[in-house]
Amino acid sequence: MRSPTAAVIAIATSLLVLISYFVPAGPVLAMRSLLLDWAVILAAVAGVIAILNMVGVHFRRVRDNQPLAPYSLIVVVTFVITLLAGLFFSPSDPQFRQVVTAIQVPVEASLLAVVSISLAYAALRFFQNRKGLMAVTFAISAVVFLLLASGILAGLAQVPVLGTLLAVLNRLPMAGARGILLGVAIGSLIAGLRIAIGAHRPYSG
Amino acid sequence: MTDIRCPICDTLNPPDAEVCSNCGTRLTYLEGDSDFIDPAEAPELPDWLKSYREGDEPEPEEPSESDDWLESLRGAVPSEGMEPEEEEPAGFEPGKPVDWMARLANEPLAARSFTPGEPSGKAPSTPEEPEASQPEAGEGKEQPGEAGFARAFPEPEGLAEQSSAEETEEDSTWLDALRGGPSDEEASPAEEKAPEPEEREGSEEADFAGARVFQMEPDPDSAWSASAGESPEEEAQKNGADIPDWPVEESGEPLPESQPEYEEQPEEPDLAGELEAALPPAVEEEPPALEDTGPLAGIAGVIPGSSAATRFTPPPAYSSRVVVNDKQRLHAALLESLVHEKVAPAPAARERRRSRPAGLGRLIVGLILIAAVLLPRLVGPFASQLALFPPETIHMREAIAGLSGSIPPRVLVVIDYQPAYAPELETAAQGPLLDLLRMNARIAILSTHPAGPVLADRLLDAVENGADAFQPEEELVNLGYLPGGASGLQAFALAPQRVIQSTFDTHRFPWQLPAVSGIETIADFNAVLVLTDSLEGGQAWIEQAGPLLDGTPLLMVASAQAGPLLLPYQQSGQIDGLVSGLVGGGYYSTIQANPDGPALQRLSSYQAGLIVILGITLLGSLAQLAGSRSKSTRSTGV
Amino acid sequence: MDLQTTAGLILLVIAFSLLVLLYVFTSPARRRTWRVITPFRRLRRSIGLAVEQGTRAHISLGSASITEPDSASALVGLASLERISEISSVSDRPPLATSGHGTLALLSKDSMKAAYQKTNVPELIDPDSAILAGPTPLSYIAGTIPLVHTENISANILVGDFGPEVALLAQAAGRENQFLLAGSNSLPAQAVMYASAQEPLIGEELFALPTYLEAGRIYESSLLAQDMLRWILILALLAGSVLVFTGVL
Repeated sequence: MRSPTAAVIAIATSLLVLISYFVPAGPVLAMRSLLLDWAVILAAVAGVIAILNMVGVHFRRVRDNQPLAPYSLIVVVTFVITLLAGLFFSPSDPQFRQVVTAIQVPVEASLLAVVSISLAYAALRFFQNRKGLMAVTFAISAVVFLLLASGILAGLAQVPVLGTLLAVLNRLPMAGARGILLGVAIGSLIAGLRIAIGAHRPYSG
Repeated sequence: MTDIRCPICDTLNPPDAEVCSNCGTRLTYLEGDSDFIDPAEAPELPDWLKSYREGDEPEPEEPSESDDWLESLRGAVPSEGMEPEEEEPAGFEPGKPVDWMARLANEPLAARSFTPGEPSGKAPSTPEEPEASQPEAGEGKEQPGEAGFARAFPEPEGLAEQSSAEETEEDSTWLDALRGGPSDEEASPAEEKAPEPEEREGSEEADFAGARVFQMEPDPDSAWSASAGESPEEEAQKNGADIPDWPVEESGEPLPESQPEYEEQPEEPDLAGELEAALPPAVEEEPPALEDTGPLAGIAGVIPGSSAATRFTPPPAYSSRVVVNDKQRLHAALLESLVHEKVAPAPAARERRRSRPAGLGRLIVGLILIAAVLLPRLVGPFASQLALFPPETIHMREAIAGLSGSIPPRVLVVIDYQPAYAPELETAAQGPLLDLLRMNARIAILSTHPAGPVLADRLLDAVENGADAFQPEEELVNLGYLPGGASGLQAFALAPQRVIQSTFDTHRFPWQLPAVSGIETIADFNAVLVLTDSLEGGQAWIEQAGPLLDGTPLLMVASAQAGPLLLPYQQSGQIDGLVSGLVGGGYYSTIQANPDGPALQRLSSYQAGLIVILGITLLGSLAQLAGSRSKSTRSTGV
Repeated sequence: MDLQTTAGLILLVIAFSLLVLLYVFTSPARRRTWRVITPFRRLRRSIGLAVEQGTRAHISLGSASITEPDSASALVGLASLERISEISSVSDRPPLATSGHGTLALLSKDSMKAAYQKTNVPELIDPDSAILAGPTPLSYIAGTIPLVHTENISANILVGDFGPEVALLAQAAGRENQFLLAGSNSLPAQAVMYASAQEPLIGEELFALPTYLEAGRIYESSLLAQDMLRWILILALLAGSVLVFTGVL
């Protein structure tokens, strides 16, 4: 059974913030500022709790010798080391910052490089997995707009007819993207309204 | 009377309980239940038969469907004392736990606990309501996965609506109150909730709400529905879609004659007579014969060797073939194919075979890409000349140049990107940042990503080399990380001093430092420059901070994936300038007349990588096209 | 109130009215026919298979914070998670929910807990079934991929805010021959999913997921309201274009 108190608080808060967006004056605005402050603090606390939970999951994996326990051990150990170093030196310590960036940036950038390789390989096998008009359209669009975005055809923009054609082509993905984004925005609006009126409560209270 | 112990779960139940309070097992026997005879009324049985019965209960018979054909076998002669089927829910098997699936199907989800004395559940299938367990008209046979899903959607008409209504009743009570007080289940009669079978038959199969069994036809359009080279039928067969329904069909046929009639009470056997009959007949004793040949000749009572030797014949060769009819053979073959299908790890083996070339393919593609990106470093840049600058980049340049009027301009630089995108965004943002540092702008750095405060160091380290006059101690303040996403952003835009109380590196109150002194709202900055790697990040600033900027230019440097999506905002005037990715950075450096700009330096590598990806895409497409053509040619024989 | 805010308010009022009116005045007994969305049909089958086989469904909620506007897709993911948890409550293995943000991780725990309490199987509540796989988008993907390989998963449902890095997750599921349905509010993610995911959802299709999972009547009303709003918006765009062409605006 979900807590009615939690639902009442959630509905009241969301409606208040929503109203303050359209009537940004007086006590409503002050109330919104206060609620936003609380939201920021709560989000940070939730982040801390979730991270502790994540470490707990990895710790249990190590303790129970589950699959991937060695990797979980690495996660736990590096977490503890980073935490202790951060507490000892403080996150603003220049050397600590250097160490963090020297590890995190290359690791994440490399992962993104792997993504590009994976996508290139997916492009190679695209028609093996997808068939039909939609797939052909997708592939042609990918080729054309990769060419346009690369700047390789920048010189052609000065040619009268080609320049116009390129300008029209450049508009196409924007129009398509706007259409998709409008649909997503409507869906988001309705999903937000469900929360605001208490019809969907992902919190059990 | 003592409590009754449940034979299934050992729970003690009150003497008058009919069913076990824990597992629902029926504790008393029904009248007329031929399988369960009251011991008091049972005919006297021999001791050995009694012990047999106690030790080994007969297999419970099939639910009501089998009753029917047994009835027909007997010529529809009801046995005496048999109560109508309504007395006990069909499908209920005495001596066994209540079918949990049936219970699940018939009870509201919220009240699934079993109540003693209540019927254990609705019959899964009775002759009176054949549609209750049959697929809808036009739907195919049940396929793997459907039964599992049907457990969760046990009553597509009734329960789907019921559970839906219950959930809504719980979740949106005020909405239900608007509907007129009671929930829909209470307000509307049962017939309304569960349309008649005739109504259902007309519905399309797409109508999921009414689908009891979900027909999942393989989609011929999607290659994912079947492995490469497999037809949809093959895939369906692989997934067990062709599960035969002969067990159901056969249930209406008469049993072989050897099948015992359960309803007839066995006569008490005359054991003494039977045992006597089973004994071999008495043999009259003869005088021992004398051996007439061999070394034992003349001795009486020995085994007659000669007669045994002469009477010996090779053992008869019995056929090892079981006598089965065609139908039984067909069933056996089907069963074998089913078992084989379950056991054979064909898909896994195919996947293993496939994974190796896939890994190799990825490796080759990766190596080609890396070589293409490194090539310009070896042979020199070959990027095409960037001409005809895009308007958004020109606007960016103009907006930054316009800041020189306010001395010194105060600019809020927002780091809204992950470390993974740092190389791209640092390169793209160098041009605008260099311009700002050269005009001695006061820079306040705010991060909406936890790693942002640290990434700010990398960003400025790269730029400071080109701006000798820049004095970070006086002109730079790192405001640290702003948590809370859009909410935090809105709070900061309204009252920055209340949200940020300390600098990231020196832990001082920032708003008295020269870089940001006098800032009360976000509109007090002369410009806001957002470095973002996502559309959502840019949108958040446009939507949350944009209305509060009050004329302060909002500038953006976006990654190549977000730039095109943010362009409409620039065209509509919500963003005053935009640099999009490495190419945009190159354009800005060109406008800036800075040929040594890192964006221009790296543009060749970027373009080389794109050309390779283009080539790969075209190559793959052509190869697939050629492959499918040759396949179709082979199949048509042309 | 400026034009933009007024337009927003009007849209909000229309959306709210449609949602409530459709919920209040539509008969719960009336069966509606929704258009066939093949990925949803296959999802239902995959969930059924998972229940039958005793394998797990994996619901990936992405990396959006619940305080950010892009969390709408994650809210859909949470509704779907709750429904799938209810469905899988008859199975031996509860589904696995992974998220890339702290708030989302807590809400996913709550959603699963609510589902199990509703279905009277509180013993299925497992703290390790709803986890934060990584606090940043890339670390989230890096933390989720091993789970796809080791947690006896047969169906992956990716509904939330993702970046292009979701391609790695899709490929990991493909290598394990697992079903994968993917939908996101992010356009780059949608493009990547189309190229690499088994069953991609395009545009606002992902908002229909709870409806097709029969998560409740409010979701049916939402879908109807969404469709009506789309037509209203199309008409408004056409009218605006005509007015601009004719010089009125």
